[in-house]
Amino acid sequence: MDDLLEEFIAETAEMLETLSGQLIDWEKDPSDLALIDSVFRFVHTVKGSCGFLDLPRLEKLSHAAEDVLGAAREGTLKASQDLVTAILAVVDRIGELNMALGSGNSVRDDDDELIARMLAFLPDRSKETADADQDQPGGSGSQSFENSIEQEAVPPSFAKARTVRVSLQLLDELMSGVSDLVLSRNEVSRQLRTSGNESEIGPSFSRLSLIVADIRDSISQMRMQNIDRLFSTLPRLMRDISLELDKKTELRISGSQVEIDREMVEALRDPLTHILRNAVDHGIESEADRIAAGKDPEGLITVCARQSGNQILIEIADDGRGIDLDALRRKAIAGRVITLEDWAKLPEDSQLTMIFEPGITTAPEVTSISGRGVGMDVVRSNIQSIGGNIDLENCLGQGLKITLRLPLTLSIIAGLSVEVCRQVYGLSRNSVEEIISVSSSSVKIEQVGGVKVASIRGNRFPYSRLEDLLGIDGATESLSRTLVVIKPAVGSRFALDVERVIDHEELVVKPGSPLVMQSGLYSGVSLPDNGRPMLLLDASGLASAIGCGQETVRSDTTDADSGELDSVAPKGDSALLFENLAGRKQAVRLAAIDRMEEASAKQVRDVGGKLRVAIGDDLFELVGIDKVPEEGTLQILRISDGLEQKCMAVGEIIDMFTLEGKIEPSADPDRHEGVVEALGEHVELINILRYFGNSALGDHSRQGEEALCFIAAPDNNGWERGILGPLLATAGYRVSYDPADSDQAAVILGRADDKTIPDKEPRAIRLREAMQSNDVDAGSIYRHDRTGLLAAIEDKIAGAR
Amino acid sequence: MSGLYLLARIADEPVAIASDDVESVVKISDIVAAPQSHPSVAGVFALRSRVLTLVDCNYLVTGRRLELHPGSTAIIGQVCGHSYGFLVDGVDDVVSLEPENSGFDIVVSEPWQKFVRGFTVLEDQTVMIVDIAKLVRSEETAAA
Repeated sequence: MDDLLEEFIAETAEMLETLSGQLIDWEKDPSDLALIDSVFRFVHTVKGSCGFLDLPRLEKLSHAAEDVLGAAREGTLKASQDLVTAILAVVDRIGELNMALGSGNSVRDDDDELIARMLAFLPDRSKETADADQDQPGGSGSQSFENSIEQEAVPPSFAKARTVRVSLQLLDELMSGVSDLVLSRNEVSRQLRTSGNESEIGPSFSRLSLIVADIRDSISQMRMQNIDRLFSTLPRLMRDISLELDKKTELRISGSQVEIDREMVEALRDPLTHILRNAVDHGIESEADRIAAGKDPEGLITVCARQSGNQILIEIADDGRGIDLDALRRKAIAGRVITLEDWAKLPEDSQLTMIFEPGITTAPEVTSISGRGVGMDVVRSNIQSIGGNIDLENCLGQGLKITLRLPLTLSIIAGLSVEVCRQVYGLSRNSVEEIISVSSSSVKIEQVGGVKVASIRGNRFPYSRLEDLLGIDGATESLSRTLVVIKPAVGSRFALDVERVIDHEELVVKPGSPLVMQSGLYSGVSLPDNGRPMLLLDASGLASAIGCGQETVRSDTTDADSGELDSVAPKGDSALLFENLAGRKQAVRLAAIDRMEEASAKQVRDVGGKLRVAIGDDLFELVGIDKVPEEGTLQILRISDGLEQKCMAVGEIIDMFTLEGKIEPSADPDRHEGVVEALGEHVELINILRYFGNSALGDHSRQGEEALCFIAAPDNNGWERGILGPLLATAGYRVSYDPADSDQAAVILGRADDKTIPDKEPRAIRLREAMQSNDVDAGSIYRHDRTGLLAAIEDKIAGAR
Repeated sequence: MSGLYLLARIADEPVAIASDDVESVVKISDIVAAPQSHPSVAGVFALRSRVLTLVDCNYLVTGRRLELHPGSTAIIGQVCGHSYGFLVDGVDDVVSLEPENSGFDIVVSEPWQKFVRGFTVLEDQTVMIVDIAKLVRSEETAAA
């Protein structure tokens, strides 16, 4: 409420400010209708907000003024100098009260007198209204302080002005100014290094760097805006669409506290509108159809925002009919977007992305709201323009879930610099899925029908060398080249062959000039530390240059039971095989690794009871090592649980592999998730949660009683006991595998196909194998989606209370 | 529009550029290639922590790239919010000029037509007045 009140005070003060000039004009020419209108609008707005905020005094004043001004507008009351004076007295009082609200002072209460004086001008109602007002003692509740003391001429004070409004343009200028500041700092740093004078200027320069970094952080925060700003308009939008289409819908919004970049709020407005419209129009069935399908007659659309690592996820899910791929195919072929042959070659999830093609709609008929086939392509281009991704999760008959993945900020991105022909290019790390050496045994590059294909651990990707895409030559033929697997905004992964990957760095993105951007290959320019400009490659642009508009990932290993609904075998998680410092081979999930780097022994210190390593300006806790090494360099994996980063020292990094087959349970699930087969050997898969045991995930345990989770693990399945159980235990839940406990458990977890859990069990959370859900396992959660799973458990427990 | 003009040479022809359009004149030493950009783009370069696009004016007129050497001169200017460097043969002087709109029924050859917005006479020599915004914009529209 406080925020609202503050907003109201600021708004009213601002309106009064702009109004003051007009008030004076009005005094000069009382008959000017335009001026009456603007004064009327002002009191009307104040009145509206007051009723909502429970400010009776202001409400009464504005209400009376509105009556009089309304009459003047209609012409039943002739505006005269005296009337204007009376109204102005009321407007002034509104201003005083408003200021008093802000500063906490009181204002003498002779409002009734002012009102009566004004209402006297009203031809017939004047007497009664004034009397009625007299009967009600003014001011109560939150405004009582106003009545407390009668004070004459309290000097106005602005004690509580804690916010200022700044024009967006000014803010933008400030932001770009700070970006420039960062870049100049980088340039100075470079010049310092070359001049060799570092020792003298060093300390002052590092102080300057710190300040610049602080300012940059504040500016980034300034850019941030509560996503609620975007979401708050949705209920109204839904209401209008639902009324128009005569469908009953319910909108549930969660995660309104997530903060996103201000520009992103604007860029998301249209896409969200389109998605919601589509959901109501195409997704949600008519009431009769819903009842026939055994669904709640009221359609449910949920919009949920959450932050995951350095991405913001916005999920829009409906429980409608989902996308009928057959219908989509017919439309796509009729619309000449694709031929039947090509369609048949596409895996299901790429077929789905067809809805983003211009001219495609699955709506049987065009309505006033959607179905014209524009919309989803707008959605995609808007999301792409801010560096985001769209994932679709379709479930025929059960609904569609659209996930928008967005970068946290727009102007500063985590970048990866790559080199080819002695030229350096940047890539957004968000779109990079994997980096692997060409000479690795799991990589094979083959020529098929005139195009090259990279096969990485059985997955085939369209392949191209960066120099070929850019049309430059002079590349060296060497075995040390590197493949970067890139996932652009929608579907369609590909492998980009570069001479070498240079570095991870934060890049300030600047727009490039149209002459450079016209190729579509670049997303902007940046000036990194070394002072040489760097062009940033655009993932989607590269994809279309390679000519892989569609996903062509295939799995070598065709499942024997391919009769199942999900024809695309889910890709197993990847893990990294390494030798620890003791020379023992171990594995760690790739998803847990943020980056790999080297650190010298000098960077490692034993401070504050823990070993820590200083990387750049940051200090990380170092695990996997007992004492400070004497000399040499350390290989370090920067691991993260999504919230916090730590460093793990390792001996040697061997290779990446896909987690396939069974994970054998470990005797010590706290330390190891289990034993897995990695490139022909059996190694321990490290449970990284043990390093984050006391991080935010553990907070649940301090929230009073620990909820009991029963995990249905009928056949001693390794995953449930080896991973899920420890995960929940770390998150602060009690875990039981004993069916006897299932009655008192708050949550029951089981595989989607587990028949031991009753269908209508409200406590059940079902876990499925595939990323994409199908109609058999609707409502289930992908079992490696840890955040989603923990959120679902929270929901269940909250629901049970 | 009388005022100060920068005298420069593009493809061996003298041209005048309104000094209001010119931010500065710099020597270009190091550029970074921008493959697949418009052919008139010689590359991008850094100037006081900004990244600018270098447009080869010689290419626009003759279709031949200017060889970049230490001391190559570029005129810096803004067009539509983007900063560009315009690579020229050289810059000679800054003079106060009075453009002469009438009395010139000259139609210059094809590539020049797109950039020239008037003529002036300087010490008996006819000089074209080049609009730097057109150096960029005519190419943008051609590309679109």
